Amino acid sequence: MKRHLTEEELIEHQFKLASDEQAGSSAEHLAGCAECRQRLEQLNQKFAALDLLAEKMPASEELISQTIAQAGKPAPRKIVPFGKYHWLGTAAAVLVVGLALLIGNLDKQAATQRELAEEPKSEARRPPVLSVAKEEEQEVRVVAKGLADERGAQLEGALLNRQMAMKSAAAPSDPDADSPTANLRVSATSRR
Amino acid sequence: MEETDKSLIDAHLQGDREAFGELVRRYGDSLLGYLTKICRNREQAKDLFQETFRRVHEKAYTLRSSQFKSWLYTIATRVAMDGLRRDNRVRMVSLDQPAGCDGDNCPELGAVAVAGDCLDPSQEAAKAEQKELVRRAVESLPDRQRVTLVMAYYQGLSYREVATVLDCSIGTVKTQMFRALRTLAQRLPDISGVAK
Repeated sequence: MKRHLTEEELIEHQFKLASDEQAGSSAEHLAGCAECRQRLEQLNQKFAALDLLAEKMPASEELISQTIAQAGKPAPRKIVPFGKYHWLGTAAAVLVVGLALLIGNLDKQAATQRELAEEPKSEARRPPVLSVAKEEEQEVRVVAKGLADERGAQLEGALLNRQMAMKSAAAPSDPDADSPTANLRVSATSRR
Repeated sequence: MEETDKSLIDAHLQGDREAFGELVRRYGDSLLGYLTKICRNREQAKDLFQETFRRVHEKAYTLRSSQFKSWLYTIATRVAMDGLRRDNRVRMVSLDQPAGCDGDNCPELGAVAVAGDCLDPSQEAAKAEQKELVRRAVESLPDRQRVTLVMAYYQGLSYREVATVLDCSIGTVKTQMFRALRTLAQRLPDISGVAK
């Protein structure tokens, strides 16, 4: 080999990593090349740094005794919930959260439906309106008696109409009947 | 006459507790050194050491050949790999030492300072610095290359033995070793001015 050895070839030569053929060729070149021998020496000095970590590390008698004592014992086993099906824990948690959300949602829907169902009953809070209307009725009657003429008769008629309207107000089909102002409209008409 | 490893294993299988103890003593130092070079901390290395010998004790009947050392390192490497996979806090083949427990004077492991290794403070500091650089250079290698390097260079296993331990061809071992050395040639510090 006429050319100088590369660093890779020097490494392979030094650590016996080359094939037999290549090793022979490198050895032959090194025997006749001072420059390559010098480079090999430098490389060896570099790798000598590895020896800084090659300290002896004797195992203490305590460690050896513990090791011998524990050798016959069964291996400590880690308790893993669900064993190899450890993903079941996550799946169960997701299921529980999903169910909780579903139940919460259903409860909310049921509450909304209950409220809607109870709404007509809540409109039974009309009595105050009716009671007010009754007071107005009495006033109208007094006024009608006082007039005792055609206008009084008209007022009496209006009063009857109003009573009819109040009866029909109980029926939900009449949109006006639901209106709390219905009685007042009757009163206004009767006043006219 | 010193008993062979195989005869000690046979004696252990016959119920001789002393035989097993002899095996632990015989390979304890080199195995602890190997595991310490693989693991980041020594506590982990000690755990792996005990686990390795526990498996040797348990699986001794499976040893067919007389190559106890290769078999031991195979078990140790598997134990170390398993342990490191479980505990990702520990990095492969970190040669880092815990603070206050340097490799030369960790009383817990029974290591002692080498006689005649008394350097002046400046040399000591320089040596420690160089050692740290070497440690980092070795740590930076990929796992497989580091394990190969530690076994072949530090533990003195032949390439054939390393191939047996790693369950691969000698060619693969040589390739891993070459790559590790080529990288280290670039990364290792020049220690020519520092006393070893």
